Amino acid sequence: MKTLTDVRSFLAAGLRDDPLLCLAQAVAWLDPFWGGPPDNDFNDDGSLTVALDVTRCHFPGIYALAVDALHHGAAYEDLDHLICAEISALGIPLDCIESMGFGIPLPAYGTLLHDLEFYTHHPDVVPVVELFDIHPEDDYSIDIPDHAYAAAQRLMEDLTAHVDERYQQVGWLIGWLFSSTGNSSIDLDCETMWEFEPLSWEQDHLELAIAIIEEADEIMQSAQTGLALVQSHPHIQQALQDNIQRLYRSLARQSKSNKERKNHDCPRLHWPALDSGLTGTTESDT
Amino acid sequence: MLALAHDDLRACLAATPPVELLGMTLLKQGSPRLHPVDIPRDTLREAVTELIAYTGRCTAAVQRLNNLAPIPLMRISIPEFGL
Repeated sequence: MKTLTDVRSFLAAGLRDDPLLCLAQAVAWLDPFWGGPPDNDFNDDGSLTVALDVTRCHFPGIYALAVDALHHGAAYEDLDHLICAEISALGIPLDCIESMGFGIPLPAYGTLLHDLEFYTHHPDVVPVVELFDIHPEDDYSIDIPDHAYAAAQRLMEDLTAHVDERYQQVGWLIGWLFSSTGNSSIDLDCETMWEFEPLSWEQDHLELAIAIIEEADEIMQSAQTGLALVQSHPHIQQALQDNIQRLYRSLARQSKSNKERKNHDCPRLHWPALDSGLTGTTESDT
Repeated sequence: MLALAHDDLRACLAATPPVELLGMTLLKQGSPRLHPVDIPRDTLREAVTELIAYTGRCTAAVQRLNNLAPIPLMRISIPEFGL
């Protein structure tokens, strides 16, 4: 028995002492997939192979952890969890490695205002869209007029530039609902997102994706706060409704005459000061 | 221009010291086991990152050597291929 262990030590020492063998052993230990992971070696649909390839190319630190886990007999689920947790920690939320082969998965928070099912999942936004004369009812599909999007765009621009942060949050709520923020993650729903070629895992795309996701998280947080504000403050609701009607009237006049457009392009919007007891009313422009 | 004979080139390459990568150092520092265990996470990351980069450099060098431009040997007579 001792002879066997001696032989093992002898071989290990021989591997370490020869530079070429030592390098080969280091590669076998630390970078076993240097020539590309073998297909179907993990008895899965190829997701782990792709994930290891992506991590090796773009996240060597995560690849190191995955290889180390493999040396310790980690199962597919363990590696899935490990890789997802590490990539999520970098700022790219990842639920499972199966999507890694398609590129960087961006969250899609986009709304589907014309789809009744959207309101099933987000019943709390119904009072807000009703301010725009959009009434989700038992129809197959809800018609969202163009002037609603135009008014929403103008409202969002005005509100997000407001000095009061609470109005800014209401502005982001409008921006999210009407997909007008300019952030792809906020403005695109899942189905639409899938139609676009995803960002690759290259460093510059990764930085862009992290920036988009961080901005989207901030916008969604603001939108949620804005929604709570609208729900709890009837005066904000009233101000919104008045300004929406003001914009609708302006847009209607624009559509009647191009000549009049110049005079009615940008109606002034009025927002009551929230610190003054929230009892003010909006001014009429008539 | 200095001339470099075949033997000189071989001697020059043979004299190049073996590369010493962190992964190899870890192997040498390790126990009699084939693979060291309980390597700190950051050290493991560094070793793998260095090894991947080294593999990349070697691959690039091989590609460059495979695509070397031919060098005309004007002053050497090779009767076997004489035209």
